[in-house]
Amino acid sequence: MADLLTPENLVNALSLGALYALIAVGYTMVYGIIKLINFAHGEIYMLGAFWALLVVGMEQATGINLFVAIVPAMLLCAAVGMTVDWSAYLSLRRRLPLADGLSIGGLTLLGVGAIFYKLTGDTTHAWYSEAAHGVFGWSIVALVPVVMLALSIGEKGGMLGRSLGRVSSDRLSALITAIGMSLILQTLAQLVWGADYRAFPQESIPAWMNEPSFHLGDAPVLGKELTMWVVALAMMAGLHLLVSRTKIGTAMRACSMDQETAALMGISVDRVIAFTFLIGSGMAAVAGVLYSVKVGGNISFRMGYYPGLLAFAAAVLGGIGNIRGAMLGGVLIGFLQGFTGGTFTIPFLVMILVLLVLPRGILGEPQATRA
Amino acid sequence: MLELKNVHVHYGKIHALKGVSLEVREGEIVTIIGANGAGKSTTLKTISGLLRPTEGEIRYEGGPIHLVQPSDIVARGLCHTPEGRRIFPELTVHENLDMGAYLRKDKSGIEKDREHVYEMFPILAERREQHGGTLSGGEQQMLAIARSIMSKPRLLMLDEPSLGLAPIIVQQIFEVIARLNREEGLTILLVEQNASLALKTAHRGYVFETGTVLMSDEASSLAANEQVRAAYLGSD
Repeated sequence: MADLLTPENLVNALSLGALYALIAVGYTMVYGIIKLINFAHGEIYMLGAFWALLVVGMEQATGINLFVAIVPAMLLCAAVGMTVDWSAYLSLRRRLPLADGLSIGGLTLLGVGAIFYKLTGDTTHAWYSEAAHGVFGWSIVALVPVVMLALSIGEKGGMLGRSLGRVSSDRLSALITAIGMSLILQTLAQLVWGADYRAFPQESIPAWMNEPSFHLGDAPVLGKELTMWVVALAMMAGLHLLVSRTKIGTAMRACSMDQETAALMGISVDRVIAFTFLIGSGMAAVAGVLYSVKVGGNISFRMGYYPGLLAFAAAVLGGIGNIRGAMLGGVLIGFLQGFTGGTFTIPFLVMILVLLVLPRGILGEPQATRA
Repeated sequence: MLELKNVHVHYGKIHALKGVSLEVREGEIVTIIGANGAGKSTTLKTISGLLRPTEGEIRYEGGPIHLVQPSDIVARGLCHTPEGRRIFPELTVHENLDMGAYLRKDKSGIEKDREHVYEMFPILAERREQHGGTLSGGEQQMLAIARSIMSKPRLLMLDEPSLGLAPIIVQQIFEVIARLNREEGLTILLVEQNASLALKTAHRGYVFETGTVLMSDEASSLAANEQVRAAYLGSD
C-alpha cells in the first residue's frame, strides 16, 4: 500500500482531481436546476478536445497555439450544450404534446446530424471501418424516440403510462433522452471524425508545457500539469464568484429552489437554464483540451465515457446539486484513482460506501423545507 | 387596468375556470373570495402567465397578455405574490429582494426602493443577511410582499397573504396592504380565505364558486349580503 503514496501518484491524482472537478460542476449545476442527469455532458468534454483539434489541425498543424484554440472550443461546446438543452430537454420540460416534442427534438437532432455529416467531406472511411459500431449506435439512437413515443402515449392514458405513473414517466423519458443525447453525440463524432485515437500536433503545444516547472519530491511537475491545476483552480474560483455574487448567479440559485416563483419575479427560467448549460459546457471543454494535452493521443469519440462517469460519481459523492460538493467530490475521486494506480473500482467502491452513510453525498444537505 | 373576459382554464381534464370575467380599475383594491377549489389561485396564475387560458381574453393596460411570457408580464408592471409566500429559502433577505428587482436596470432606483421596503418592514432590515428560510411565517410574508414591490408593479396580486399567520401578524400585513394602496397608489388584486378581513380592506369584491363568478359588488354590499354572510363570513 505504501508504495502507492508516491510523488508521481500525487501529481497524477491532482491532475485527475482537476479533470473530474471541472466536469462534475457541469453535471451538478444542471441537476440543481432541472433535476436531470445530463448524460451527454461527457460528450461535451469529448467535443471540447475535438474542436480544439480542428483549430490546431487534425491532419496537419495549422500553427495555431493550443491556448488560442481553447477559446473557440469553449464557445462551440457552450453552443452544443445549449443546443442539447434546447432540442432535447426543453420540450420535455414544457410537457409539450407528443407531436411537438418529437418534432422539435427529433428534427433538430436529425438536422444537426445531417449538417455534421455533409460538412465534413471524407467520411466514408470512418463509416466503413466502423460500420458495425455505427449501425449499433444508430439502432440505439432509434430506440429513443420509440421509447419516448411509448411513454408519451402512456401519459395520455396508455398502459405503460398508467403502470409507471405520470411523474415517473416524465423522469424516465428525461433520463432516456439524456442517454440518447449522449449516444447521438458519440455516434456523430465517430461518423465525422472516425474511430482513430488522435493527439494534438506537437507544434501547437508550447515547449514549456512538456518541461518540468518544478519538482514535487522527486517527481517532476510538467508545465501541462501545473497549467491544469492552475486553470482548474481559477475556474472554480470564478464559478464560485459568479454563483455567489452576481445577479445571474443568484438567479441560478433561485431557479434551483423554486422555478415557478422565479418566473413570477420576472426571471426567464429557460434562459437561466441555457446559461447553466453554457457555463458547464465551457468548463468541460477546457477539461477536454487540457487533459488531452496531458495524456496525449487519447482524443476519440469514446474519450468522454469514463471521465464522464467518474465525474458523475464525483458530483454524487459531493452531493448532487451542490457546486462546492462537486469540486470536493472531483478532487476526492481524482485522489482515489490517482493513488490506486488509475483503477475505476476503488473510486466507485468508496462512493457506494460513502452514500450508504450519507445518502445525499458529503455536502448534500437534507432537502430544505418550505415553511 | 386589468380585464378578464370569459376566461376558461383546464388542468388536463379538469375544467378549473369556466368563463370568468372580472375587472380591476386603477387605484382599487379588489378582492376575490370563495371556498377552496373555487378557482381563485388559478385565476391569479392565469393572469401572471403561469397558466394559459383555453378560451377567453386577458387585457392589461389595454393590451392582451394571455399569450405573454411570465417574465414579460412582470416587466409590464404586474407582479404576483404567490400563495404560501414562496421565499427562496437559501437566499438571504437581501438576495430575495434582488430577485424581485431582477428585470430592473436602474441601480440607484433599486437601492432607493430597497431602503424604502426596509423602512416599511424594519424587521427585514435587521434580518437582511439572514437566509429567507430562517424567517418566521409573518416575516416571510412581509418579505414576499417586499420582494414583489421591488419589481415596481403598478398592479400587485396577492394570494392568501394571511395564510397560516397569527391574527396580530395578519392585522399588520393588511395594514401594509391598505397603506400601499392609499399612500402609493398601488392597485391591488387580493385573493383571500379570510373573507371578512378582505371585504373590510377592499373596495370591491368578487365571490367565486367552482370556477365561476357567483356575484360581484362593492365590498361593503357584499359584506352585508345575506348569502355571502352565511357562506363565507360565518355568523359574525
